[in-house]
Amino acid sequence: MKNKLLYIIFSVLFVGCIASHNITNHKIPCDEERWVVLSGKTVNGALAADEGNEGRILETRYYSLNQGDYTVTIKFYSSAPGTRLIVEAVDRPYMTVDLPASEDVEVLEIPVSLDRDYVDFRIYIEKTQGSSLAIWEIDIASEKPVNQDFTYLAVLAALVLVSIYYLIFIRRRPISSDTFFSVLVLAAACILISGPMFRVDLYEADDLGYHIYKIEGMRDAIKNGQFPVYFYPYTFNGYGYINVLYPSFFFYPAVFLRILGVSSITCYKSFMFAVNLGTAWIAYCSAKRLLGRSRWAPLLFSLLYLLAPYRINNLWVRAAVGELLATMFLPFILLGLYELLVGDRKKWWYLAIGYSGLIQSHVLSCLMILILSVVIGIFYVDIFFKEKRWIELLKIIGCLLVFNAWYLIPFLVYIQLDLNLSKLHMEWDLHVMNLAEVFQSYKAGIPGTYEWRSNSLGLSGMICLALGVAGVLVKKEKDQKQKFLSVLLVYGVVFTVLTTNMVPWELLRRVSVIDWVSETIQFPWRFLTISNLCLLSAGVGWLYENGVLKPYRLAISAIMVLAVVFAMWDVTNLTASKGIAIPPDRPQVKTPPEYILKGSDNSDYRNIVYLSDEEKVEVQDYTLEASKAKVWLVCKEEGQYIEAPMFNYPGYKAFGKDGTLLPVETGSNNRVRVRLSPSEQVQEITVRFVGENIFLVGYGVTLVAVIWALCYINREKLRQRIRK
Amino acid sequence: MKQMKQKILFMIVSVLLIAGVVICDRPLNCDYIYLAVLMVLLSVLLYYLLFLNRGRISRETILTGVILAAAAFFVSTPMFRPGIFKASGLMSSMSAIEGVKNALKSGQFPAYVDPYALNGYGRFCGQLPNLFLYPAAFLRLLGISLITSYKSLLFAVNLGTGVIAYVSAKRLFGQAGKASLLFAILYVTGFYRVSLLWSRSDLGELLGMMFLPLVVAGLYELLAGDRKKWWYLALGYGCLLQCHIPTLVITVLFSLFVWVWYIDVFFKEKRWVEMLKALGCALVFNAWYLVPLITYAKAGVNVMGQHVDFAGGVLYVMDLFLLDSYKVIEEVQAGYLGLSVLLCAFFALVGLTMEKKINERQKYLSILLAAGVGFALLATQFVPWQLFEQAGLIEDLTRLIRYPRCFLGIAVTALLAAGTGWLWESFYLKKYAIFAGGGVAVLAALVAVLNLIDCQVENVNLISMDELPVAVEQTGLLQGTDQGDLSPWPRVSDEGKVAVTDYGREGKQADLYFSSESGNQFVELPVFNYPGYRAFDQNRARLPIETGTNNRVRVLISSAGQDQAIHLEFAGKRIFWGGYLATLAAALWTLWGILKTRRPVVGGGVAERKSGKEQG
Repeated sequence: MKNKLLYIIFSVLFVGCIASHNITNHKIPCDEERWVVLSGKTVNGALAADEGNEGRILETRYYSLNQGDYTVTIKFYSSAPGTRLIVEAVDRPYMTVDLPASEDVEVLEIPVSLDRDYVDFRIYIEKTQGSSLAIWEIDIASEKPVNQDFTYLAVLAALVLVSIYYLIFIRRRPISSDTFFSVLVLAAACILISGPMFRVDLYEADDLGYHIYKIEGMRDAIKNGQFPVYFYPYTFNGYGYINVLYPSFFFYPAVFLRILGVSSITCYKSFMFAVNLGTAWIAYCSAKRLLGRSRWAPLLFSLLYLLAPYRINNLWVRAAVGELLATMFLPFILLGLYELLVGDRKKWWYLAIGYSGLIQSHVLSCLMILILSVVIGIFYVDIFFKEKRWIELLKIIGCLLVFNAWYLIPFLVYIQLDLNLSKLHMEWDLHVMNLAEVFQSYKAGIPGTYEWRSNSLGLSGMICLALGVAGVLVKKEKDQKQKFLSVLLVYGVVFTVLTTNMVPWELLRRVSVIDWVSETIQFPWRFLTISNLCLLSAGVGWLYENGVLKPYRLAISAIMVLAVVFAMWDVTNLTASKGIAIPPDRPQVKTPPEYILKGSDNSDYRNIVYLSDEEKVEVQDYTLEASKAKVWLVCKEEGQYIEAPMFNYPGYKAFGKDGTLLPVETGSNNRVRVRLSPSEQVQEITVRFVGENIFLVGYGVTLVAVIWALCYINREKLRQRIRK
Repeated sequence: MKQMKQKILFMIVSVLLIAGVVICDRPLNCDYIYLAVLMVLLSVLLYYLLFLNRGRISRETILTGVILAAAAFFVSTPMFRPGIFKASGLMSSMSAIEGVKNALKSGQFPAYVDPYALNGYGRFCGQLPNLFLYPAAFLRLLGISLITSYKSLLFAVNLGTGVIAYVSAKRLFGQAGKASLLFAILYVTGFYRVSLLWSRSDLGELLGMMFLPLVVAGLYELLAGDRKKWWYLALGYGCLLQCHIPTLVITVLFSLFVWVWYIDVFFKEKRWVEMLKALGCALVFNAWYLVPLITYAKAGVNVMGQHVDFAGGVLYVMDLFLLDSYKVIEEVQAGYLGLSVLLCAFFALVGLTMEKKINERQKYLSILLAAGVGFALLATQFVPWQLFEQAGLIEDLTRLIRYPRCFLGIAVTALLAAGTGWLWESFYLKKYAIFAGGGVAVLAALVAVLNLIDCQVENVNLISMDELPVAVEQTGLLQGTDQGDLSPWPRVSDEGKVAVTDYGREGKQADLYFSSESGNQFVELPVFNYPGYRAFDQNRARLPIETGTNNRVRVLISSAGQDQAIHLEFAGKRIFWGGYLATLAAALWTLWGILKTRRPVVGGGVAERKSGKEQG
């Protein structure tokens, strides 16, 4: 009893410690480390601009601020009037304040009220000639905490502590020791691999800005009534940016956290931690079925898989969220393939779930895994047709289509847009690697295409390859599982070689299909995802299938685990040595360059209603909101139109005053153009995003499928209820 | 003649070629003689163990000793070269040794004031506990170079850490030899400790870490084990007090945390009696040091060091998980637990969560796990120190502790103890204990090798044998001292009335000769007025002393006269004797107690008991 009480007391202190950070989380400082000096010079931490300087003197970084009231405090000295502080959002002035002249250092507090969340909040100072200016500090403060990070972390900590309380003091339900141990090991591995996130800010990574922007953009869309999210409503001055072409199903939890006020960096970190946990769990469960001869094989596989150098590379160096999500489902797909082709055909739904997860994660990985599935299937063509396992394949395809209809239909609609995909084009030949690089670590720094990061399988990959080869050679008579492992070994090697310059890619890409595949996949080293999966599965599988290695299993396993831990050490150090850390209030979002409509001119993204002819169309008034425009006008002649300041994405519709649907087409600069009928009376035209009718078909199909699935899973219980 | 310089004036009349400068024609130091003597002693020891030891020292003990010595040797490898690599705290540590040596040389014992520091003004050398610096200072007095003395001290610390860790662990783990050995190896070669050794060269914290296992074991005995072994805790605390005050403060907090879990037992079984004995012993045995320290602190000597922004020195939580110290860009001296500590924490977690019912020892190990995690987090941003420091008590504590990373010492100790203990205690892990323990030890060694290599590569500045430290901190100086005003000549109240004819400083004494045309004058000697100085005139009559400008010794001149003299000497204060006597009495009482337990009893005794054993 006393121990329980003490545990509770210390837990409360622990959680209280986290929550107490809210007391100091009210201010965002902007000092010399956080602003850019455009004119003048920094003297003893203060910016000094003399009488000769004019124009923009200083600008802060961009901030991501939630809707609400703030106070901007500036400590300055200005010898004469003419200095202005401008609060900027969406690349235009939101508020302008004149800084008064003073004889001494002044501290001015300026209230700023934000009508919505902004990711591009910035402050800059302008001055005229003839006055000298010095600025010491600029702060942005709020009466409430600037974000809900610490509240959220406190709640998380409380949940974890409650779980530990259960494990230590209650634990009535028996859990097998081995399973429990495995859970502990994997949880510890997840914490270890997530080490770089245990700081207030986050190290920069290649695509981090894109994904942070995705979270922010989806948050904006949901708050504006879009669900699911098709495009971000505020990008490009409100014209919008397509979201649906990059799967975002798994982003929704992070987005909902963002809506609750948690900063985008913390949302992203939580997301990645959940991905790590999910990867470990799915890998473990899949390996338990696929490699389950020994109780330790699943643990070893999941540990190696979770901490694989290429995966850590994706996590901390590339921030390749899509690939990471896809990696999460691959072991399940592998298991599903095995069950479909040679195993328990009744478990066909493994593959359906695996592929569904993949579709909702990363489109490119779908293509790669499809290729893998087909080439593995080649080895089982005879069984496939003899045992009529194609029936299960049809079920799988059917399930995939209906369960993902809500996403696939909008995807197919949007992919047909005339998009400028030039930014997605990569020079395949420039990214092939040397074979040596595939097995190196960052610490080795072997010269090559990617000497500066671990685009490799690492030592564990090499050992698994050796184990697989040993197993295949030693075991003469192989059962079905061992045959499957052998096939995986072969393809592990094949896909590894495909990443290198050993393959004459220049020649092969003359074949149009191969060229199309390479164009879609973009980088050859993406095949490492498959090599990793296949080699680790084959290696760990054969380690426990091969009786000759039985006395050495523990030692080999320990060496492999050490190898990945050291590999992880490399990559986390690479991350830390980059030295660029993004704080929670400054996400450094990037406006994404891909998926822009062809012909869009970014110098003409003005936030006004465009008219065909100002003399023939008289606009009385208009209101503009996110993805909605309302215009009151008088149209005097035939053949006139208006263009709302938003891209004409599928789903935009125009309505008259009485709700009549008006014809919509694509206008100049891809804007929504509404054709007008002449009338002497004032017409009210509303342009807003409502989605396409066909999207509803997709939702309906998926909903029916989900309900049917739930009923099917619980059919026994339902039957009993009906009988009662 | 510490800083003798040679100047050669060269006039442009011809070509001058300097082939070399010879300062003296005999060895500058006795390093090689000392090392030769050490080798001889080592050879004698080996000879004894190989040929003369007939079972007196068991094989197991010898093997353990060899392994611990190897571990100490292993982490000491960067010192086996002339010179030493620069580290942030190196100069401060070497200054401390030099200060003690100078004080001893001048006739002081114990050492209070380094009379040669700061142009002869002197510096209080007791602000850092310095008992364990005496051996190195004695080596210095024998003519061994400062760097070699320092390295010898470090090696002794490494060896001592291993031995104390082993002995303490044996107590804690119930005589489990392998667990204790593993703990000692991991402790000595631990990432954090090795970075203290070679990256920061923080001698105080290193010495403190040497005794932490003793405190951990002593607390267990006091709270849950054999209460008669309370003296473990007394020894641990007493030695900590002589090592590193921040570590002592943190250990007190740690003890409070552990104590809370045993509060009922503590009062029910009246174990507070033994606690009082332990604390009393720790204080009394250190009275010889504490009484002067308090006296000097009251007199205005800066014993706390420069004010440090505690909240600004917190680590990221992420830093605790990093495995390589030199690739982190923020600062080289960031704290890391190291992989062996993280693995041990994991073992402890597995043991705790998988054991159905835990015994007293396992309970204590679990508390160590919680304490280790908690104290590690205290070093990080996790705790809003900026907010908490607004509370007066916490601010005082942080001023004493100075750097948040100091929490990592006890965190490392607790986690290693918890992990190695649970490895052998847990029914689930026991069967893999040797394998896992060996693996962790090899890993720790590998990581330590890389760390040692890195520190030698990164710290490219090599301090050569004859470079001497110059400490520039305000520590040990009287409040308000201006280090820019250290003129070596005495000052007078009125130069028209008082004329200084001669002045000489030798060790702890100074002699000033002057003439004065009138009374009511004063002279200020170029010596800081630390408590303990006394002044006499030429007739050995005591003269009053007060503090003059820039904290100088000011002696008042009451009468006019020619050929007057002032003799100043450092003699300590009478109150110090109270401390000495208290410590001496405690030492004698302890000795008597030990002898009493070994004295033959009436009607039988040690000899009889021995023969009884032989027959048995």
